[in-house]
Amino acid sequence: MDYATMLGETVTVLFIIMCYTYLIKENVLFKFVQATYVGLGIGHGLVMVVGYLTSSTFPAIAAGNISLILPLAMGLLLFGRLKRQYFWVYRYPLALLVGAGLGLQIMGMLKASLIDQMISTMSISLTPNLAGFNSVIIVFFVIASMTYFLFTVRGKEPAGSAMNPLLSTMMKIGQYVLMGAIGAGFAASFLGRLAVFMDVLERVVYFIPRMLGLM
Amino acid sequence: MRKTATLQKIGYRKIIYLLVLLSATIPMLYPIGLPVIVTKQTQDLYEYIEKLPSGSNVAIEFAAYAGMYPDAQAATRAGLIHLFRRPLNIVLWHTTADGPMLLSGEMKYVKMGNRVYGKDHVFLPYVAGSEATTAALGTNIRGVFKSDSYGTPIDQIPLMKNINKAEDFAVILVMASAGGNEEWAVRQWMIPHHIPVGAYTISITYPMLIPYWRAGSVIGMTNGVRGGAEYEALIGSPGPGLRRTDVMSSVSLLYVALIVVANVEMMREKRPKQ
Repeated sequence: MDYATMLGETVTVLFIIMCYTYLIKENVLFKFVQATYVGLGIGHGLVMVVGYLTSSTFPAIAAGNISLILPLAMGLLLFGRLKRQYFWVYRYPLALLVGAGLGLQIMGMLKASLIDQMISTMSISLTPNLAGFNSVIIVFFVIASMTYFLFTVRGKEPAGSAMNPLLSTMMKIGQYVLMGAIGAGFAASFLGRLAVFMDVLERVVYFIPRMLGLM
Repeated sequence: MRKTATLQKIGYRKIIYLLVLLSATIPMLYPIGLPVIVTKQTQDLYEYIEKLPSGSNVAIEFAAYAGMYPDAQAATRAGLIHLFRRPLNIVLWHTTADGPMLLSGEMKYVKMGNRVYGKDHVFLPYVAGSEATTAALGTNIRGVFKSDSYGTPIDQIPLMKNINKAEDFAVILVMASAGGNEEWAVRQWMIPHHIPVGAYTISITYPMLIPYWRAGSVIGMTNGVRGGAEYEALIGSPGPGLRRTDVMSSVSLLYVALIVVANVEMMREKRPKQ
């Protein structure tokens, strides 16, 4: 291992340990790491963006593609957000970004996120296996989840009268399905964070063997 | 009673931190080697790439953020090893500022053999612009990139001679995205240009992609570290995924146990005192 890598590994492990001191108590070591991380991230991002501008945008403008001046100016207007009196300037590029983004999304969204997924959901396979069971249960769960959002029907219930028991049961099932889906999403998020934790822990645990050239 | 008081004095949180640390460190030092079952989604992605005819052009949207990269690292590395092992033409670009740095770290693990840069693979630089960029790349790559990562003009790169739009590719693969890029690829490449989309993704994005996979909009995808381990097993190249599977199982088991303990404790506290 060369000296530059060794130095890099040592600084990384030191920063990880400094960062985790937060678990005991917020302290100056943690704050130092936090500020360094944010600073490095922004610095790196800025260098990459400036690099893109200098290697692609500016040469293209210099070569005569003056239409690129417009998006460049729009990008600069976004900085209006930084000063209260120029905040209104920031709204124009933002409106353009949101509008263009939505326009682009809607084009593909209708087919990919709505039509194709509706077809896929409704394709029930009546085979006596797990796939068949899944296809039926998915349709049922989708209907139950959607029933949960039937506020109109719920609102029309005359005061004092009981809600339709079938509808009420479906709503309850829908509620549980939604809770299950949200829970699964949270569990996925937990796994993602756990992977990051494992990565930093590996660096600490394997630090000495790596320094000694055993790994 | 005395036991609870002592625990409260130390702080439950600190005990949990210690337990998590132990449950992660022990299997890291003494691996158990739990078996890895390959899911259909990972298998589909692997088989699709395996069945691509020689000389097919593959587009890679490298969308790695340093913050969440460890979750996608195993799958990304295994994916790159697999892709470069096959006789495929690869065109890769970055949609995050962190991407070039992270990719250079992964390329150390990829055996290049007699591959020649510019003839069978090209690395294009980072480009900002999110979904609009993905859409623009589908219609005119030269409108977005003038040169590659090393500053060589695109028109001087032999591989890029006949490549300029989505239809010139057999598939687009989204790598290490922390969310969103897969959907952009589906909306901007799959729907208008009918180019299949595959993903080497993180655990957070994975549940969101399942409906797209079921609907056939995504050919297959990997699921975070676990998916990475599956892909490593499929290509026969053990790496960070298989190494971390034991740790992941151990910490997950601890969390399940903690959830059970916390719920039992809550019910015990709620029970009316006699």
